[in-house]
Amino acid sequence: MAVESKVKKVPEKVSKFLEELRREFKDKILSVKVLTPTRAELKIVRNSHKQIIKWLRNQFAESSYLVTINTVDYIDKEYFELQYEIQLAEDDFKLHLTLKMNIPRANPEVETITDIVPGALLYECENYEMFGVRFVGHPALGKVFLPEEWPDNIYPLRKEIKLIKKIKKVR
Amino acid sequence: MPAISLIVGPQHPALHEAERFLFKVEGETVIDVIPRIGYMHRGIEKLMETKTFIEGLYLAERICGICNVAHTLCFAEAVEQAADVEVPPRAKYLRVIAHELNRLHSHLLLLGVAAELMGFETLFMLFWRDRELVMSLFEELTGNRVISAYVRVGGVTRDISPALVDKMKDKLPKLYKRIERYKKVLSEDPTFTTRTMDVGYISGSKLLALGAVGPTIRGSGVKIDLRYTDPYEAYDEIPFKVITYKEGDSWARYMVRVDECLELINIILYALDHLPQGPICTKVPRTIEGKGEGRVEAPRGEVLHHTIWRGGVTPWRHRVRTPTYANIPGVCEMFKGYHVADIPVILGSIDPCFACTDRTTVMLLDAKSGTRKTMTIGEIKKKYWRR
Repeated sequence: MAVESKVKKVPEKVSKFLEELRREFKDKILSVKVLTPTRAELKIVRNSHKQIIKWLRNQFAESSYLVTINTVDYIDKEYFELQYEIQLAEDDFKLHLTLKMNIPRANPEVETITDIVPGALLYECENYEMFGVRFVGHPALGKVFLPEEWPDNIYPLRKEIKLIKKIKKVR
Repeated sequence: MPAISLIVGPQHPALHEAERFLFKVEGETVIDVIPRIGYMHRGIEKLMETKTFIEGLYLAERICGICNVAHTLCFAEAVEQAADVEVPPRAKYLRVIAHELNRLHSHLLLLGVAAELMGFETLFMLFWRDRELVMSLFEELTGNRVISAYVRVGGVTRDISPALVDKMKDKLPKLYKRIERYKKVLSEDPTFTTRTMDVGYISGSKLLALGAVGPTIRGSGVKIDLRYTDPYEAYDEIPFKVITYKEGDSWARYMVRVDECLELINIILYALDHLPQGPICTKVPRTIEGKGEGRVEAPRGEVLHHTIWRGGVTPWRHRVRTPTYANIPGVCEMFKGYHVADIPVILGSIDPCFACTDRTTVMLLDAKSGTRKTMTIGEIKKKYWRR
């Protein structure tokens, strides 16, 4: 498995760190891609996100935070792609890591990370109400943005839900 | 003493926006907070999937009025990355100038509001008088006072005139001196310091775990500023200091903003001096295939636009993460242990913007078929407004 990279010169610290990360989680990381000198994305095995985020938060306890959790609905390929974005920000080492993980559309269940990163509470709720991704172990999985009377089992950002009103298209 | 539930909202205790906080209070002391956001959810992320990037840019601008340059800049950055387009250097510098002027007016607005919250009306008037100067410079640069539509995908819409460069170089140093005077007032005047010092304390490591961003986290001594941690546009060429305060209380969060105002005037003056020559816009192809991630330091913290295009003229998915949304878990921790009277001061110190948070057209849902429809403001008027 080689590091794929669009960038001509990857900074030494970044490549060293990615090597270390791959050694630590040999069978968990599927591929590594460096996008810019300060950004990289990792494809990981399902349900291995918790270990990796825990390890990252322990290594960079005073200089890392969870940026966001994002879901992409690939309806034609029958899976959701979950993206955990983490910023590592030390004085001489800065990296924005995106952990990508595929989960089947039929059974979208993943472990929660709220016990290690309390800041994920709202993001997990949002992904649950918009996409129906269930975070197992979340203390209060409920509505954040949608009204209380919104029907269950309808997740507005999924691709099968269409806007009824035709929006005039300027093409 | 048994705990009482105190509901604040859906009107904002500090600024004029809608959200609700449920405070559990024991006597005068807050012991727990449950936030409820989403009163202004407009479904922008879904709507964005039906828009080309030309339309989407204006929709992105309407996520938040006050930091509109940050949102358009972030949207444009994301689309440019997806399309693999490089912006000309002059456009980069012009974007920096507009972005910083926008930040200056936003900070001055908040500081004025903060002074008003504490009953310091004179300072409120002084801040807003100086904000007017920034607004008129911004109008001359972009053509509009607030919603500017200055950034476009591939560059900017208007060039800066030499006369305006001279005017900015003349006016901004004067503003610098005035803000220095206000800084002295804010750090010495008891009207301000007694209300804010040691109120709403939170440590930096706690805020990192809660994922807070922007001046909120810099007020607790953590050096995270996207202009420095993940430089965009021309920020890797412009020298500037990242402002941090160690105190971690409301006072420190306000002071970060005052110091940032001073620092960003230096950034604008540097950018005006080093403005490169050349074109201000490039062409961007209409159909795009690729992914882009725009990250911008807005006045309130980090804005993130994540866009995924799979061919075609509209994005497959567009994700927006706004700063106040990230700061809500942090501010809920800050309330605990302080008095009810401190609630507006603490909430004001994160500079909340709930239109941003909810980023949401009114949508109606057809429950049987599981589809939804949008209503225009005209339809709502026809249906619900009766004389």
